[in-house]
Amino acid sequence: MALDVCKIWKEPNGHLIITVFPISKMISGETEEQCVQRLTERLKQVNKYLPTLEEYTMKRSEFPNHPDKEKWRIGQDKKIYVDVSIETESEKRQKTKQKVFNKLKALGLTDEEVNLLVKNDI
Amino acid sequence: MVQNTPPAWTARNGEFVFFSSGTVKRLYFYNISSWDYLQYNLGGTQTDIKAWITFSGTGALQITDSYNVTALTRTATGNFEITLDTDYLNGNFTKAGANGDGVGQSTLILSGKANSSGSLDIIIDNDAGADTDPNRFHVMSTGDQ
Repeated sequence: MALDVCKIWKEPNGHLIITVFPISKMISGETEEQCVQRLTERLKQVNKYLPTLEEYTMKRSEFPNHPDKEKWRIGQDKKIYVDVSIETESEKRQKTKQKVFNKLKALGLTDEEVNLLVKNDI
Repeated sequence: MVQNTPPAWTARNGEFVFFSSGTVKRLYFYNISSWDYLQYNLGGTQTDIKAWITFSGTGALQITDSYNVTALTRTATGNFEITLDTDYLNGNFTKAGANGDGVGQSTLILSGKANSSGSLDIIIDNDAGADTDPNRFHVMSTGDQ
């Protein structure tokens, strides 16, 4: 299982990167925060990009209950909120597929024929 | 592969000798008029799995279980970096993965980014080719450490 305490990294465009840590890495007598701090040192040795970003320590149990983490942003209060106005890559892709679907339907193709061309997740 | 190199002398049944060559360790024992051995220190052989993880990329992220894993980082939808406790010697290691339980995600495909010695960098796609956070996914890796 993962520790409740985790690390959040804020990219310049506001996008959040999330790091979680295995609970099995805790040493006897160590707090979750101390454990995360220790493991983060190793993480920063391996990943040279993360140390260049704004870093936050948070609890996974306080994450918003919203499935699309691409809409997660961090506020002035250092808490994560959901910005529903963000259009994710997945949503853009879905919109484009819908446009293609509609154009093909307008040409007289049946749903089955269109689905063969614009396969899956529409 | 270390060859079988039993002691050169004849022993009495039950006698044993320790043997070491690189990371391979053996306990040679004399049994029914010939030398036989048990090999241990298996963590040091090329054939063992050096790291593995079962995780969920949905919700608040979860590591169900793992070995030789320091951290799991989600860099974007379907993009994960698994930081290892112990580096590989170089980038010439393998990694493989599979969808966990198929709940709502019948097909997921793992593709890897270029290897760095200290992490497994992976992308998980659905069968439409879109990067996807898995409900449950398994990754394992092996190579020289």
